[in-house]
Amino acid sequence: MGGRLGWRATAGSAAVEFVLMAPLVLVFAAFIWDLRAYVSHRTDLAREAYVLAEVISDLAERDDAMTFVLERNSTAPTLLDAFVERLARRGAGSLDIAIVVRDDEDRAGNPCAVTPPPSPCPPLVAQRWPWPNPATDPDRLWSGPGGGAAGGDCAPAAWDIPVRAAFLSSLPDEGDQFGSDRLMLPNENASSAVEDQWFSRTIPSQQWWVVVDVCLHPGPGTFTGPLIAAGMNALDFGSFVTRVRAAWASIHDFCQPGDSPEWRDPRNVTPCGP
Amino acid sequence: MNEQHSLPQSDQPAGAPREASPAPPARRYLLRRRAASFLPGTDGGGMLVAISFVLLFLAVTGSAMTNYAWREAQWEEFHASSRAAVSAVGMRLGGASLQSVSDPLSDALEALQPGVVIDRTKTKVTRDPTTGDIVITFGGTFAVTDMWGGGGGGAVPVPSGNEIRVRFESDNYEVAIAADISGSMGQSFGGGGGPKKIEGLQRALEAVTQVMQTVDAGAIMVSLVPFTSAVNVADTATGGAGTAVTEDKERYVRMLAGATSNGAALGLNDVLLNAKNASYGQWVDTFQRYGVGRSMAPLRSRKLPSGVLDNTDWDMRRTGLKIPLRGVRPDKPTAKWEVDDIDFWNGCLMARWGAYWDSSARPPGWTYDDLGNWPVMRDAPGWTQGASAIRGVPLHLSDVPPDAADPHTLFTAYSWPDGFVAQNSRGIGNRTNSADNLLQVAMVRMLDGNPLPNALRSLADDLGSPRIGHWNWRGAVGGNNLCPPTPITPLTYDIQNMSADIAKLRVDTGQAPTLLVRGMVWALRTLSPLWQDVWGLTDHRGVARPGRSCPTGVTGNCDAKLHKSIILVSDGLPAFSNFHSSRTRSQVYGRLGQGQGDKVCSEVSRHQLPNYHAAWAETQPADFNDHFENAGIALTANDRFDTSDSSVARMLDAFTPWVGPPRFPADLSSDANRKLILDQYTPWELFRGPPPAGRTTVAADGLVQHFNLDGRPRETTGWCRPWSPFTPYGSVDDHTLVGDDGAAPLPKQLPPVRDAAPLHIDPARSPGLTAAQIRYGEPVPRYGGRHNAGPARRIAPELNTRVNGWLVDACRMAGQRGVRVHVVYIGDNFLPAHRAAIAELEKCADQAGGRAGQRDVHVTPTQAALVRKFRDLFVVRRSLRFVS
Repeated sequence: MGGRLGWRATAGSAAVEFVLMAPLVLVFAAFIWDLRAYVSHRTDLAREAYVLAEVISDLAERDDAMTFVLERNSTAPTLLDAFVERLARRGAGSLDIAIVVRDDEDRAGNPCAVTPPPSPCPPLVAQRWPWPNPATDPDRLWSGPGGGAAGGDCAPAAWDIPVRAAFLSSLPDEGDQFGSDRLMLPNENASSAVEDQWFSRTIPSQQWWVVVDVCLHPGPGTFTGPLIAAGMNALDFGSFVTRVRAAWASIHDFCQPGDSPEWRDPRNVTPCGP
Repeated sequence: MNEQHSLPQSDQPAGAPREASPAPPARRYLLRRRAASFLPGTDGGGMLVAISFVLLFLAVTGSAMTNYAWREAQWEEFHASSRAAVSAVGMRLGGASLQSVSDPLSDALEALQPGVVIDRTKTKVTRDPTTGDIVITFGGTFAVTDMWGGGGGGAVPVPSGNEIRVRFESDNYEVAIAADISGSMGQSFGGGGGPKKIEGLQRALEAVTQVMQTVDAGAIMVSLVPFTSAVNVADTATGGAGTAVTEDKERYVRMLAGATSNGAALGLNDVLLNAKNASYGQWVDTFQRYGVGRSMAPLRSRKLPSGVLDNTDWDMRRTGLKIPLRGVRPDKPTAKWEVDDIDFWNGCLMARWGAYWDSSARPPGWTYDDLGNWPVMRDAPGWTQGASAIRGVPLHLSDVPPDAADPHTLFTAYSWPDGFVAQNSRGIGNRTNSADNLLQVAMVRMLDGNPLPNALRSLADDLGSPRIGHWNWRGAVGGNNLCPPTPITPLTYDIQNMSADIAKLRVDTGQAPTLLVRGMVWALRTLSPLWQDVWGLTDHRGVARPGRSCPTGVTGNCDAKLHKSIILVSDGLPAFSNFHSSRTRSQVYGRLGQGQGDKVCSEVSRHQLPNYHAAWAETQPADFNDHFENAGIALTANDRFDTSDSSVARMLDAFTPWVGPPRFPADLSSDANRKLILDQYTPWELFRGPPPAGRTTVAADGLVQHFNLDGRPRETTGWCRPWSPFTPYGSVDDHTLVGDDGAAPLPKQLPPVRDAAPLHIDPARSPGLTAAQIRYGEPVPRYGGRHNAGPARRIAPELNTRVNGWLVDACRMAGQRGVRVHVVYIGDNFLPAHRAAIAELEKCADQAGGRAGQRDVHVTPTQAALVRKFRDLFVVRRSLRFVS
């Protein structure tokens, strides 16, 4: 009997094990897998956003009238499309890319001193490529798996959530300076509370920056994203908003040595060299 | 238990999970019982514990691994931020002091990456001595957070081995600087007493070398093309101890004989061998008649003389070289002439077809009217495969390379000495007189003129010039006239070499005018890959240069990162309007208006000085002396000058212009002394020699010594033989039918000019001018210059249009090659002449990619502005590249 009972017990435990435990293991494994996707996304985003900024800074050339254009046949548009596609697959949110230069006037309209560098002068958004196109999507958010209120906490109305307080706000409109309450670099107010000493306020005149601002809500993950989205919607669990601001300075010289006041002369800009 | 036995038998093997089949209601109880019995059971409990451990293990390790990945993601952000910080400081890393950018690097990283606290004492910026890379390492801590919040491990030290390596890259540039070194460049900026324009140009070029030092080796290669109305292609005397530079010599040979198709340069022996080949060896020619003085045509000797290219020729510029005077001094057949380095070939070439004005040099069967077979129109091949050829352009505007299979494309030496004026054994700078000119003019004066014609008086005035005593007179006649003293520097990345050549830049003190098109065309040739075989250059990597850049629309078989440009720098007072024709022997100077040369030549022409030339034609002393008697100069019975006759006044007057120091010894101011000299000689003895037997040391030679003279006169027509400034580089008889092509048309500038030099003035196009007026010419005006009057006013527009049109065409051709053209004008732009010059230069810039309607000419009225402009032009766009 014992043997029979043992057999039965073993057979029963295996069935129970399978029926009861396998789903738990699978769910747990899926959760880990999903979490891995979420975690790896942070790595990907750090890489891709910076790479995108770097590529744009490499391939963008300044044309006349302060207009930056991407080189013909450049890889930047392709890279950008792939980047956007992955973002849209992972969540809802917003993407904003801006080319920022040193303005030549302070906020009061007075000319900024060019020399000796670095003299403070606000950065200016020379060109901006928000995505989705605000003309067709006024809230500048795309819908993703998270659904809900498109973009959730990436929506402007939600900008007061703590995680993005560091950014204070989104990028200025084209032609506008970064205000005294707007950071160009994500952490530049940490080292100095004095705006004139912020790094972005002392960039050289022959330099431009590419700023890539990404917000994803919820974060990626087939299950985790919606789950967190639901949790966020219910609990304002804003820490799961993924926000990355990658900034990359131009890796090309402008054509003028030093801080030449002639740097705006478009004839001396493209192409450079004798 | 019985219920257990009542269970249906199953076919499933033991241990296999049992499928849930539709269970009778009682089965719910069965499962509950089984679960109740399993869980407390030994097997079931063990399983539960095991699974729990598994889950716990999965949870712990999964969490740990996920958290690890989370932390790694933050390090990834740190790395990305670090690289971004390096990009932020970017170009400052290219400065001299690397460590000075340490703090900006730290600031940038802290601004970019939350959680970073930089230890500035540990942030290092160094240069790898092996690779040249710049290596950046950050020190400090990075606060890495755990996934589930909290500080986790807290601030983690930044790994010391976490370095970022970058290097600077730039595109490659080939830049030709066409530098005007005409005489006006020797003047000061603004006409004041400040630095001379040529000095300013040297400072500007030095600034270029400084820029070259800041970029990668070979990123900028520069050629320097000094020009006036010609360019000098070979340094014939800089190899030390007067030995010609080998590469310059070979370059010259390749221009003479053509570069071989396989890229190998011809050697000297090959050229000598080919010289014996009638098919083209005959064209490897040079003017070899040292001091003949009456055969200025460079192609009169079309066979390559034996040994012409041996080192004797190439070393001729050595001071102290002695040349046999056979044929030059019949009276001294064994004499040798000690020359210095400006007496012989200085390195200038002319297009061989440029001598087609000489009927004996024309290709068989060709006539001026045969325009369809005009031998110097060519299709200039594209620089790269797929690039369009430029069709139907004249050789003198093109970069068609010298090719032995196409003799018209070859060159020949230009500016061999053509007229022996005098040799002053006392050397340069000694303001003594030369027998040649002094006695020549005296002879003219006795035979054909009293008083001395004004032009000859001017000539006499010039006899005190330091230039007298050389093979070339005034630098304005024949010889190396119009040959710039400084040779071309082909493309080089060697800063030391470049600096040395900049230091050697000299203003051409001759009367060579500024012919901008020469500078443009030769600048293009220094950039043309079609001329690779001629220049024989490689860059620092051993790659042949000039390289093949990509013209617009072409992407294959070319270097997209190679850019070419020409900087045309000139003070631009366009003396090219001073050119004149022609093939007439009186128009030898190629420059009217400023100098006296053309007048001199016209006044010593056979037409105006019949007795002088008739006397020269005599070979016997008695016949020679008769001309003096016929001219009213009294001679004694033994044909000596009769100083007792009243005609002595004319004899004495013949020397009057030079009485008094420093031109003549003071005793010549005394008529008595002059008589004392004259009455010892016959005219033949005085002017022709040789001295009579028995008096070789005291007669004519004594006279020469007495006068501080050191030679005998030669017929002055040696100065006035036909050639024109357009012989160098082949413009003579260029019919100026510029461009006739459907694909890439160049404009037709002017109708063909036939049977004349390119600037020949067609009387039909200049109504009111007589042939003599045209031929013997009145001054041709500069733009708005003081000579803008009379017949010249009618000539000038045609000349200007034609020459300016060539410049525009050359610029357009550069533009079609994808070569950018910058024009730098030295001077101000206030005077009409300047504005007119700038307007012409503007046309050039527009044709080479400039912007019509915008000001493309850079005006640099001061040295500082000139240097600044060169600095600006040479700022090269660098890129920061991450090495990983």
